[in-house]
Amino acid sequence: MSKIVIENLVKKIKDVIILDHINLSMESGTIYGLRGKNGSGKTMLMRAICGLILPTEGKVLIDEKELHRDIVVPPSIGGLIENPSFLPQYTGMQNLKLLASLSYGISEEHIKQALEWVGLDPEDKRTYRKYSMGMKQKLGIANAIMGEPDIIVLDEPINALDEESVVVIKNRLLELARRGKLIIVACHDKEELEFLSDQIFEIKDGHIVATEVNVS
Amino acid sequence: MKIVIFECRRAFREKSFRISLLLSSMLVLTDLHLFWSEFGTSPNKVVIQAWIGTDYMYACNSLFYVLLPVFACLPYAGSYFADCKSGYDKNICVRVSRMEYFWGKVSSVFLTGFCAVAFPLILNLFLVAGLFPNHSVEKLEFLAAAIKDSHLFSLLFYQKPHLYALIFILIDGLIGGLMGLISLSVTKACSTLFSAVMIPFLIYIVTGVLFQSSTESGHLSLMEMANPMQSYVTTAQKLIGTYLVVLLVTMCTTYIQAKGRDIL
Repeated sequence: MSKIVIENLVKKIKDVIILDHINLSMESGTIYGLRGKNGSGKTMLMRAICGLILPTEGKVLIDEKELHRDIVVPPSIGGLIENPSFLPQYTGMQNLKLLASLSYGISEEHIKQALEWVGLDPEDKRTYRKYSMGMKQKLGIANAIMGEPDIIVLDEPINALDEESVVVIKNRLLELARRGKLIIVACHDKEELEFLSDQIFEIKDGHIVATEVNVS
Repeated sequence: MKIVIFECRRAFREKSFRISLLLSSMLVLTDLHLFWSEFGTSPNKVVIQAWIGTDYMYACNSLFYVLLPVFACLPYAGSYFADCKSGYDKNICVRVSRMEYFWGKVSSVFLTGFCAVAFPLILNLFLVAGLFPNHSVEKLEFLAAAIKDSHLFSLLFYQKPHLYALIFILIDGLIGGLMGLISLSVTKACSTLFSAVMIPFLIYIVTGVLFQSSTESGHLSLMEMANPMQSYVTTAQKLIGTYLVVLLVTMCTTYIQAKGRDIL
């Protein structure tokens, strides 16, 4: 069970305010949607949750531990932020194996399962550079969900995916949420976001301007 | 430790590492071929005269030591730049802290730089050891060029030539590692992968030429220190001192950049 609490989070880059006093609370077993125009601060908020940026002010608490003070990285997190990026000379399986070696408790079985879940063949001998856009995106999602981390952060996960794959990924995410994972999804497609999310945060110019609870 | 293993596993599998080894090996083999063609049947020539580090007969020695930073940086020094540009660093930094990533990068870049420089020198030494007798060199024979009494470790050169060669392989490997670290320290200022890999070479050449333009500072040039046949004689203390200063500056610059860096 995980809980994320964000208190007065401010992020400035070269005197430009990207995130402006963000306050949020998120709990496991729920899918949270982030909605907003390009440059509204969705991705930056996701980076802050993943521990990739240092807050200018405020704090991100994960299970009551402050990021960058009590813990250096979230203990169990998987993320796809912006575009997927992997080593072009390796296959999907080799890429994930290499990255899994940095985490505790991710076995080869977990990696195979994650690849199969997103519709990729673990035995595929093609290197990443030969992957289509959709396959790259799927590998990015597989990387985020392998080993089933407690927190899953996905930035535009259905980009470049065909309709069939979108349905598969959505079902997987709903299944993971049912299993108690905390999932954060940013998506430009309003309908998809509403279908997936239990709660939606609307971001504008670095502020949370609205919170919607999805009752459907 | 996991991140060090991760980075080293990546580094030693890189195609650029194999290309670097191939280029440097071709150079040392060319030197051996030239030496063997001319002195292969000569009974007076010994291992330490044929080894590329102290072989003053052909341009391969100079070429090797001029290109040392390229051999050292080509394998993996540009990987930090590539990771930042491609966003691959995000995959790593959600799993380990940026400081662990920094140490992983430093270790792997240093190690690949060391190996890329030391390997061809060792290869050459092994090959010449198989082809030429292992006698100590006659002092008079080397008087006209190469190693003089005032040179660094000259006593070892005459008494224990193999040990002398191994010490210089170690020094050159360490300088190779340092070149890789210089590349890391300038990564933030670079706009292309090519510049990230080539800037250490430029620094090495420019400082070498500048320092060597004066007899006062000639011994401070890293280019001079790497080559056993130094035109400006240095001492072990000066070598260690210069190395540590450059290492410290390089590490501090890289550390400060890595510590406060947002992974965007």
